[in-house]
Amino acid sequence: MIELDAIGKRFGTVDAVKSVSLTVGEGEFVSLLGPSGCGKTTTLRIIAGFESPTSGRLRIGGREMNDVPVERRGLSMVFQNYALFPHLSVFENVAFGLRLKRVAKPEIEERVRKALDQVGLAGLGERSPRQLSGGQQQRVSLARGLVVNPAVLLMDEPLSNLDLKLREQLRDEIRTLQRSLGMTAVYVTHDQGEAMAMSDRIAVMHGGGIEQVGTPRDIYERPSTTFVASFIGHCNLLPGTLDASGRLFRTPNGVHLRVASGLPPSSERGEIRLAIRPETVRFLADGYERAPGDDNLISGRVRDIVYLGDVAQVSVVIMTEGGRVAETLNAAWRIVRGEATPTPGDVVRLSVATADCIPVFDRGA
Amino acid sequence: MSGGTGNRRSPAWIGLSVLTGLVFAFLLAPIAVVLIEAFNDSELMNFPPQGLSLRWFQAFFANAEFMSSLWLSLKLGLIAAAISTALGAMAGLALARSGSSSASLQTLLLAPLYVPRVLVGLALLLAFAWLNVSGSLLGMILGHVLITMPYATRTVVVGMRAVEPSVEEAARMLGATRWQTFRLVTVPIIRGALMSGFIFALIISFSDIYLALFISGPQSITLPLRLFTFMEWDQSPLVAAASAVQIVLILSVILVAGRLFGLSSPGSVE
Repeated sequence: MIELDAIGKRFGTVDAVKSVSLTVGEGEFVSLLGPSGCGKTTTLRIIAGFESPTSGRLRIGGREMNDVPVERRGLSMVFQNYALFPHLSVFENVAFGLRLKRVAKPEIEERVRKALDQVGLAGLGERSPRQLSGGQQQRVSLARGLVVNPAVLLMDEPLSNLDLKLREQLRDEIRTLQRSLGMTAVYVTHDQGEAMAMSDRIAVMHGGGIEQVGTPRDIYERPSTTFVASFIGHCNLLPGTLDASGRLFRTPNGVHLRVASGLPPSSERGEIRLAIRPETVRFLADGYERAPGDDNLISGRVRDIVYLGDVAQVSVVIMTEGGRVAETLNAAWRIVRGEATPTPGDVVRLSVATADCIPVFDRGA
Repeated sequence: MSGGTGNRRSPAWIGLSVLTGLVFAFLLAPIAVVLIEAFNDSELMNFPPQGLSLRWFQAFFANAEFMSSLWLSLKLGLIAAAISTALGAMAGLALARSGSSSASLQTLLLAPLYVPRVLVGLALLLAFAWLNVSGSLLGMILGHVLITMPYATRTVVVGMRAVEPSVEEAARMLGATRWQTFRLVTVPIIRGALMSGFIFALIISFSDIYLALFISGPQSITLPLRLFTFMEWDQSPLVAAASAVQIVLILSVILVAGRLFGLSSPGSVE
């Protein structure tokens, strides 16, 4: 549906977007996720047509879009600040696009009513946008965008101005609506939870480029760069190097870990780190001398423990086989009612599956 | 109310009320004097009037010269204000949408305000003689656009700040061209500011004397200039009656426009 082919955008001497290539399929929900200044909003505005790319090609529905003005792209956009027309009623806000297309009056009536119905605002057509709450205003904006049957629905942080409860509720409603309409959607957010919950695929952006594209599960379980691993969820990132085989990771303090395959030797990438999610680290009961199967066995001393409700975050200072103090690893201890948690000073044995030790690299800017 | 604003009987409150009253009296007293004087029955201006009559209004409306000047001033004011507001709207739009260069641009657009009106008049006198438009209505309109545009621009620029760029972008996304967006979204949102700018311009134009002194021709004597020259020879309350007519005219324009468009409250409807 949407094809970005090596899209770049330069403002003066700053590359806001660097050679972004991305394909969004028909009916797919794709999020552009990243911190502020990562280029996600600029990328969305290039798709919308508010910015023209300084390099690369943009196609929507197979049609070359680089030189097509905003109003002829047939897209809709939902803005962070709702962007409703303050001088028009809710009904007229939603009818705006249809009136421009010279749709017949009875049909406008019908379609606006249906759109307001879809977003749960039936009967509020005569109100002024000012009389509505933030959540309701964003629903109007959504109805206004959907009523024209856009080829793609673009959303720029639409939930950021709402409070948490409403954000989660509207998030699910938007997702349900998008699915039931089979609408192609591109969603910009800095909130990883939002992106995870809503998207078919996520493109994680950083420094103007895409770091990784994949399903929420891919992104979380198989991060390919240091940035992705650290931006999404909590993650241990151990420094070190991969050996020539690409299967063994060595930290500067002499911890050796077998790792998932998939990366070429460190000489061909930027700096390598080893990503280990705290919840993939298992605590072994007393008496285990070896880790089960092919897993890595780690011994260490508990330095600190933070109770978080469902889990406790346990910081473990790794000890090498020679008894040397090495790097610190955070592990998640699943809380079971009535059972004691480790305490600082305890010596613990941990195991991490080889597949959960993921070498990641710094994507050179 | 009672909590935040303090005791209404306190000396400070009473002092502030008296001060406020005095300021208003100071501002409005000249207008009151003119309005009262307009009804003076005597041949010469004196205050307070000895007797009341409408004779000076009759004299004013019966005087062909005053009438032609009144129409000229009205025509001039409306045309100049319309042009200024249109140009001001464009300038305001550009200023509101451009980033870094806007501060110096704005100073440039407000430049006519910083030059004494007498000097603007002198400059126009010289320029118009050279361009051969001296004394013509065209010259008068050009001059009045020059002096009124800063006021219109300033008002519109302030109004434009209330227009979120994303609101205009939303319209574009829905299929509106730039022009349609301006017409259907921007103008309705800033119409209060546009109207305020228009009225400011109208008042400035309608009360100008300096430009008129320099660039009026025998066929284009504005009302203020006519009154000014009249007063050199005649001390009758006719001048006050003419001023009263002006005041009433301006006030009614403000009231009607305010009722129709909601002045200087950009974005507000109904």
